[in-house]
Amino acid sequence: MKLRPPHIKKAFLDQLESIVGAAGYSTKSVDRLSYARDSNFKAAIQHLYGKVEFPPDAIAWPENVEQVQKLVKACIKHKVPVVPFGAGSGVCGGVLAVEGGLVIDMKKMYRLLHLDTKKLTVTVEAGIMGMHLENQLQRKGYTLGHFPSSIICASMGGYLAARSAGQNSSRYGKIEDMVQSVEVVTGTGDLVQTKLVNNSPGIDLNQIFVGSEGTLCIFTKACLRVYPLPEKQIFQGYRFANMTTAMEAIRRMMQTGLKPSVVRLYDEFDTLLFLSHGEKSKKEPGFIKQFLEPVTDMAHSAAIRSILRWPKFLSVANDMIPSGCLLILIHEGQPLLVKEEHRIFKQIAIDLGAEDLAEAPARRWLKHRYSVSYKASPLFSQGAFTDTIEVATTWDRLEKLYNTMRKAMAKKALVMAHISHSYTEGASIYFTFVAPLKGLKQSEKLYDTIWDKAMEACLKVGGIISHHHGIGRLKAKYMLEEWGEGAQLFRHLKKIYDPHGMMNPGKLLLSEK
Amino acid sequence: MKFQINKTSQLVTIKEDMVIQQLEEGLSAEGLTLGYYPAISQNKIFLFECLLRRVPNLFFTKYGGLPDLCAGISWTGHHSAKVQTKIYPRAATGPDLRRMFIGSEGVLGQVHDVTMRVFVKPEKTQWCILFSDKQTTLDEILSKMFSVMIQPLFVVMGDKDEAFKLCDGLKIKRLASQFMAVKLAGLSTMVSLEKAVLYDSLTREDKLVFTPGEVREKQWLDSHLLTPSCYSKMSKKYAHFFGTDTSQNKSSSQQIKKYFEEITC
Repeated sequence: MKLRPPHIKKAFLDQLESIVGAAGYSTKSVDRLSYARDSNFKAAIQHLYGKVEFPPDAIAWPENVEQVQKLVKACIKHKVPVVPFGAGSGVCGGVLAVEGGLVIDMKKMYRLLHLDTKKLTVTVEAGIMGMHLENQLQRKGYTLGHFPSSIICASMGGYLAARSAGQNSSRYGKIEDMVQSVEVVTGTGDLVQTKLVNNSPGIDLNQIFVGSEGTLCIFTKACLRVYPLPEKQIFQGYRFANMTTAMEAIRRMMQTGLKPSVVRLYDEFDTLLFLSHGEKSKKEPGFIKQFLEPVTDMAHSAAIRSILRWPKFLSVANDMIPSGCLLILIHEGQPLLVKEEHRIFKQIAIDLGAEDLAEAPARRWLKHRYSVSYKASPLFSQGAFTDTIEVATTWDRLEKLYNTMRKAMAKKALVMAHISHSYTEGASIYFTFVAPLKGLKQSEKLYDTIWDKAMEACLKVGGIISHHHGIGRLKAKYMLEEWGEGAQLFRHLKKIYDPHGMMNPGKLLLSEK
Repeated sequence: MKFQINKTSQLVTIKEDMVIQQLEEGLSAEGLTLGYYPAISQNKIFLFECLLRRVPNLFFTKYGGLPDLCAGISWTGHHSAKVQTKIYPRAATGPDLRRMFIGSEGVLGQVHDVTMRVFVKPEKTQWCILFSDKQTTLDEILSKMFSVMIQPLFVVMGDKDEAFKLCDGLKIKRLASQFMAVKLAGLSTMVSLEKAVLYDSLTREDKLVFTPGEVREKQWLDSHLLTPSCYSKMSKKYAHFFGTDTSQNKSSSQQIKKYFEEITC
């Protein structure tokens, strides 16, 4: 892979060195390549075929807030775009340096600063990794309750920038529900400390900065709500006849006002995949199996590529799968309350004709819940690519959203879906699609077509185009329609907090230039 | 019709400004509640005014504040542009424009219509009163209550004079110098279990608790404790549990307010 040379002036580099030291920044090709993408699948396709579209010009690793402020001010002075970077686990191209510039990687600011067990809050530096924070909290008997599938490779700053959601969000909320206050460096280089104003007068700066995806500020610190580790957990699986009945069950459950920790509903195809993956054998494979494995893998890849050429056929076959729909629940908390919550939910499920699958499916899900993200890479070598689309809407439109989007995408890809975040008024649907790789240009075109069809279908039904992955560059072109006149408000926010227009350009809302 | 209920999604869309009490009566007729009672001493208050001022919710500990209750909102900006947010539970589509507007005190424009979450009226409500001579004991129980996600409709604590006034008002023996009164609400079985969990938090063998059973007792508690002044006292002392922070950094939010005031002039 060849990268274009960095477009950077010596005066700026000299200033970088004076702020973070010689070891605190880099313009080396290997580093620029590492930061040239996040976990967005289109960029993965491009890199697979040797294309690197948006390498940054330099990367800096500040160690404290003062350095972050000085870096931003240096970028203002030298007109260098700024791209805040956490851990690069985002899937929407949110850290692509579309105009080059300086990537500011926050990972050296990784400390847990204070755990307040009376107020039930934790204060952390924004570069702390999700799993590290959770491990530190759990050692003291507490939890953030935030378990996105990217927890191993995502940072707090990234969570806040994107408005992330964890798998336990039905109980603990999304990140924006957990945040008490944040400290940010805005695009003017100023430091701003927000406060909690959810139930008192005042403009809510928390909810302006959270979700801004680096376009208004860089997160340097955050204070969040924590909880003691739950005393008891109850695991439960149910199988429903179809998505209609299963969605109705979740709606009734959530509208009791109770808060289960995990509520996951898989559609028929996703249920089939889930139930067909048993525990792997721990025996060593024999000689013949070792010899045949590459052959079967090649045949497997060819079969996958062939079958994905007929997505419409797959879609029809998908509709005929008799696996039913699997609902996984985990209840956790105070033992008496958890037991009663489980009883109430069980009654709802049984009333709607569900089959009781006991605890095995939920336990198996918990054991493997982070592994699904790692199945994307092997697919590349098998000649296919995948991506995920998460949308949300209210209950009265949910089934229509599911059917409309699935139909739109199924013309071009194999589609499956699950519901993983539920509320009293609605839920989020998480689609996964798989399509064949066909060389760089055709694959990019197919990728874009699937996304366009999905987003058009979502907007048509009135769904929200992202529940927790964020917008990044991937969905920026749909934001004018998503926001309507609200886009003008965002432009005003940009004028206040990024008057020079250098904070993460090309994200959230495409610029008019 | 000033408002429209979406029972499937438990939402109500209010198309014209309404006195909150009137709205609540309309919802009550359908077995629903807004879950919002303005924590200010004002007789007739309109919903849109509350949204503009982000007037605190007396029932915050159960239902959240106005930003939590608002599922969608539209407003007319100062250049007559109508901003309409979608109606959704949660999203990751940039800054939350709904939450930016709520509490903006008219700087961004005036409410056109709003969609709020509604809730099924609680099957059961129950006052529970815990007594102790130690404030720290009750503080710990308060913290434990929130940590296990018991979400009371209301909670208030009081010291000596207030504790004695409470006991005299309920016509019970003066049990201790500190009290914590919790009003639980929700599914009948859950309320009973939550009460048991709270009472079990008092570790003394002679648990100093009182469960009002008579109508007179409940009415006394509702009229003397379920008040904006009690709420204000609690929200100041336990701001982290009440979604408030009285030490707000005014200069930061003033900057943004000033910007919008200038551009609308």
